[in-house]
Amino acid sequence: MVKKQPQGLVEDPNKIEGIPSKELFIDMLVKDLSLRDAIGDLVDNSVDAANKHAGGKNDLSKFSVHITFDKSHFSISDNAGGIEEEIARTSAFKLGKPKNFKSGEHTIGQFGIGMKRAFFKLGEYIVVESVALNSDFTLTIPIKEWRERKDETDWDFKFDKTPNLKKHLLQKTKLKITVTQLKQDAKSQFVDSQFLTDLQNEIALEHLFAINKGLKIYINSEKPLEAPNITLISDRDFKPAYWSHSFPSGLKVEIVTGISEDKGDEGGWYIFCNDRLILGPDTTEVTGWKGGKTKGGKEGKELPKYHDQYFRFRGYVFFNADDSSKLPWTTSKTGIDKDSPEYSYTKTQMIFMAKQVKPLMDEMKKERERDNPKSERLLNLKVDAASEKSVKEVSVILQNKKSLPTAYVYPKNLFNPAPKGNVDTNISFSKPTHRVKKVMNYFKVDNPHDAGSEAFDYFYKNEMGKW
Amino acid sequence: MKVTPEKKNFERINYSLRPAKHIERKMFSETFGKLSILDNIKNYRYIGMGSAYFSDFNLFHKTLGINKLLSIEGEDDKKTKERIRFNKPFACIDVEFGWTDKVLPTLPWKKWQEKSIVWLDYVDKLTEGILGDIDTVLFNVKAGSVFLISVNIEEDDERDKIKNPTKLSAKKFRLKMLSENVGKESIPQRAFDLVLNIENNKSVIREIIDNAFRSAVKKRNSGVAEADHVEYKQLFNLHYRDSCDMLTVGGIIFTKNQKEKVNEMFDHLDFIRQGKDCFDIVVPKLTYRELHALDKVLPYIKRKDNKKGNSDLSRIPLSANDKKNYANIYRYFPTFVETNL
Repeated sequence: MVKKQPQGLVEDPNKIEGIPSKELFIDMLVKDLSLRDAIGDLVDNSVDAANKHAGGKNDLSKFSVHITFDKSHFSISDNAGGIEEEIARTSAFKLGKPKNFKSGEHTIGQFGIGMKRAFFKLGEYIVVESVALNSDFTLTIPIKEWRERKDETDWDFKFDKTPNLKKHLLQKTKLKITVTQLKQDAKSQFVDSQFLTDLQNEIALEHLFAINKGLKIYINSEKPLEAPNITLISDRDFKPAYWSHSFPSGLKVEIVTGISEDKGDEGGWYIFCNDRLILGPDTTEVTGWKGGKTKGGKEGKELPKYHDQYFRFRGYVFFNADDSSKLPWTTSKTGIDKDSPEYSYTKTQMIFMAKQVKPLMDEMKKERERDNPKSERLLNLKVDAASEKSVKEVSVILQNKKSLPTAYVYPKNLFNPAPKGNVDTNISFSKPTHRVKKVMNYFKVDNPHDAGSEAFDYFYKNEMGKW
Repeated sequence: MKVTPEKKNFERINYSLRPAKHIERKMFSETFGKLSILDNIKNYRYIGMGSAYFSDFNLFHKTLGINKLLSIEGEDDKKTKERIRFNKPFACIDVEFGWTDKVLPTLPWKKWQEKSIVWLDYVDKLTEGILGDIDTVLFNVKAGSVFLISVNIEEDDERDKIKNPTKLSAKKFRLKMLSENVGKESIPQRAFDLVLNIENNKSVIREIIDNAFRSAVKKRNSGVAEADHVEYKQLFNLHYRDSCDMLTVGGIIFTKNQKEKVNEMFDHLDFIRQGKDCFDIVVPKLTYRELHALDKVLPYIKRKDNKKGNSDLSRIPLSANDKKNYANIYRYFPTFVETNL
């Protein structure tokens, strides 16, 4: 209820206050946010910045992100361009992204609240130091003081002093965020070694592609995070297939498929949204490894159930969008939105491209049948040799994507299964014991197996004409 | 224990001597000819399964002038390859060896400028693999393309002791076989109340294929701008029997721009079926004398004032059914003559 006031005292007698309270932001925004995701949001920003300043090249080796924390502080710094004072002044620290804000390059951050809500989650006293290409500044945010300001409509922050409008070389730029007066949650987790290990592993996996492109991320360690290499065999004989598509929404997708090393835990599909791994290596129905009940060699509508025969398969899907809300990921940005039309479209193509690689793996398996001596397994030998010398990183392969074929290429002609005539088929059946014994007596053999075999040969000789 | 000698499909059936199939092919040829309203027929590529006889390839090349043709041949042992290559009737036919689920994804769809006429004439029953092929084809062909599939719709024999060791009833056994073939989730609900005899198979299998076509088109449209969206219009729902019961379902996919033409171009073809109603090719067994007598009064115009036609027709000593069946297909009716080529 709005209390009735004498009209003369109010600016606009029809106005009802709708301004939100700062508590709403501080408490609601961090309500379902884990500490790990808060840090993840900050890392996302650093990775975005590195990608943006790499100038479209797949090389991030000049960039690094350092994270340190203990019971009294948290800090993250990178050398990826900083924040320009103008952006800081007008948009970066606003709670929520202005409606007409254009990030220009693709970013992971979606709602423009990642950095701020990370602040609220981590602690009460934040210092931001930025050295950008055209300016530098320092900004202190004492959250407690800000929240308790008398004027509830005063939401602004202040630079420590007027920013410098000075030019800096890219390699001298930085953004450093230091948080002290940590929240209780942060304080206790930051001294937990399990938290550190989990965080290292999760960030390494999420930013697999950036790390593959050379980005170094340090988390409380002198050693950068290591991530599995994402690779494909690529040479004159084995050519990965490449496909790209632009959706009407502005979302773009690229897929590259092929084979790589025979490793069960690395085979499958990898799906990236703006370079962040959100699914994979996936070998489930979500990416088509659904299997089927069909008999007779065909294996379902999509892909067969994943098993050891397909350990070499690799498929990499890269969704990219300037406007990250167009990406087909779940709202938590941690999984693919299976039901989105864009994913449904892409999945059809993924299955289609996996089916191009599948015959190679099927044929390799056929060659490995026991009657076929190793030296005759020509396709397997070729793949083994290529595994030694032609495994390349996907980021390198993609530098030359225009030269990649639309359908997977492998040396089909090498396929050399055991000749059909040499293959035996097992037959088993049951017949009344007294009859089997008679047949055993007839052929003078001492077991039913031989009796069956003799009977077959007898039939074949007499009924099929030639032996 | 069951040992069947492995025979290739083309050794089991001489494709050119199957009259119903022959009629079907000619109907397709006439239908495909209408595509010239959309585009020069030379801008079409035919993709089929020519076997060693290449009957469809022969017909479509000769009568339509399509000169980009691709045959997919499942058998890929050395001897079959040699034989298939030997039997290729024209130089403009390419052959890809391997099953369709392997070959279709590797075709250079992106590179091809042509629209496609794809007829996947399977010998077998509908399977999940075939549903996958539907996705592959409809995701890739250009608008204005025609896509048909033919499958075996024989009823499963519940007396088969090997396939039905637990002696399920016909109803349960046939449903079990169908769900093993296409996956339970593809079977329409109403099918669970039916005994899947030929009549019911006709409608259930058509529905499964139709659903697969529509869902594939939906998927294709989900990724492209509205101007490039395609629609699917069924043209064939056709059943025939030579040695076994076969069903052909399929149609054309087209964009908004092509819609007006597509809606009119197949108008006067009597065998076109756009919905659940199935066109049955029934081949009456007639003597040459009877054929000629019938031809003379066809096309039969049933009018009161067509007294001569009426009386001529009634004078031919055949059942009304035979007459009707012949009238349905007489323009496509094959005559086989023994000859020394």
